[in-house]
Amino acid sequence: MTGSDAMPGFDAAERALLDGFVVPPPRSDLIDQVVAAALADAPAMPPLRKAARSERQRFGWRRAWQVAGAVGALGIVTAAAAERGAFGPAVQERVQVVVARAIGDDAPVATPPAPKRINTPPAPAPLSAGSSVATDITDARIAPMVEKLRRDPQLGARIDRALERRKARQIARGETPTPLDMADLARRYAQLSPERRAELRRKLATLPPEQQAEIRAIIRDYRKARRGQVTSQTEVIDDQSALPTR
Amino acid sequence: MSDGHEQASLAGLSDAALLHRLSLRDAAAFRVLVERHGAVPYRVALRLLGSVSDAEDVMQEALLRLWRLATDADRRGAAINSPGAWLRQVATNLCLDRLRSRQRRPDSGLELAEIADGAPLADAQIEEMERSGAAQRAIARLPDRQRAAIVLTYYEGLANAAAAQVLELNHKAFESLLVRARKALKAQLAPTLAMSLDSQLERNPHDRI
Repeated sequence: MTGSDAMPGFDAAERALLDGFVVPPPRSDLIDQVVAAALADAPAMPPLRKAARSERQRFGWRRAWQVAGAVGALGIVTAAAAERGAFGPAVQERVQVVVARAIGDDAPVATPPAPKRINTPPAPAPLSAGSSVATDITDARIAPMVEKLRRDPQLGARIDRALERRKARQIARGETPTPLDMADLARRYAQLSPERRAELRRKLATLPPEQQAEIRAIIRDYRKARRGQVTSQTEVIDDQSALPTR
Repeated sequence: MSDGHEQASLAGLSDAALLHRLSLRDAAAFRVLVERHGAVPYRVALRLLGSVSDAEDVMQEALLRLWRLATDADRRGAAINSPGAWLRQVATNLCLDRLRSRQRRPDSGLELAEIADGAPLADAQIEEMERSGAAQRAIARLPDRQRAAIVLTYYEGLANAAAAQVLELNHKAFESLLVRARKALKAQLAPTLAMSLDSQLERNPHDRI
């Protein structure tokens, strides 16, 4: 519906442009999905919160408590870090003296231990091509990566929504929701338009380098495993070229 | 009675009668309501968010809320007089929440690509898409609440009082918002209109003053 006849303030040319913004109807199978999701739905949602809160309400007491909480938490974390020697032995000693006084501890302050060298765990052995466990191992690495990405302020909400949508789709199909797996991700990626793939690659490039490297390693291992399976089963994988490469 | 017959008989029922059946967890009544009003939250969300997948999410969430509210014995008192209007309000609120929670790039060809299907396009269709894209981009560049004001009044055809109610604003505040929204939208549309005029003059040079 357009309100071109009921909208003052726009001339004919502007109305013609605005009326061009026609939206297509929703997919017909979406109705089936919604009905299935409703029938499968058990818990009641919390009541709708008011959408139109004033600026004053939004940045009022609640905001002040949030800021106070954040500052307090930051103080505690900083103090704890200082006590553990994060800012050097001199600061550590001073903080420990203050803490010892505060808790009435007369015992001498322990000298800070020499910083421990953190050994990075050895890289996992390369996956054997064609192994049936190879893709399972790749899948097991997805969950921690997704958890990291969910904590990303730019991507978190979007990933949560995608996961919810996936769960709803599985429920709508009468399936039990399953954890993410690489095969599904690769299949969905292959179905995306080139623009959407480019968009995803751009987003990947905005992640911290170590996360990018980790994601690429997962994809690389998945490909290796798939190639191995293809070699052994002489199948053709049509979604290989679809995976993101940089 | 077969499913088809039951569906057909339900289709003749009023919204109030369907809502009553919904309170008894009647899935067939819910399906009729979804078929009747499901496009409302989808339409509002697609225009406000500019993304098909987000619009589908909002549509699903709004309809699930309708189901939950109507079937929840404790909250059945919350009257839903008009499911269409209720869904429009819920969808608008959900969209504003989403817009607030993400710092979304206002201008993206991605969403346009989502709306367009993969079929080969004739010139007229391309022109129509460009036209649709220009309006969509112009609306997407507006601040959230101005965008909602335009979508509710222009595209959903709500009177100012009804749109003010959806956005939980008083009448005067809404009118002021709408004036600002129209002004901003006109400014956004101006370059497209100027380009369109230029190309028209190129095609018909005799029209030049």
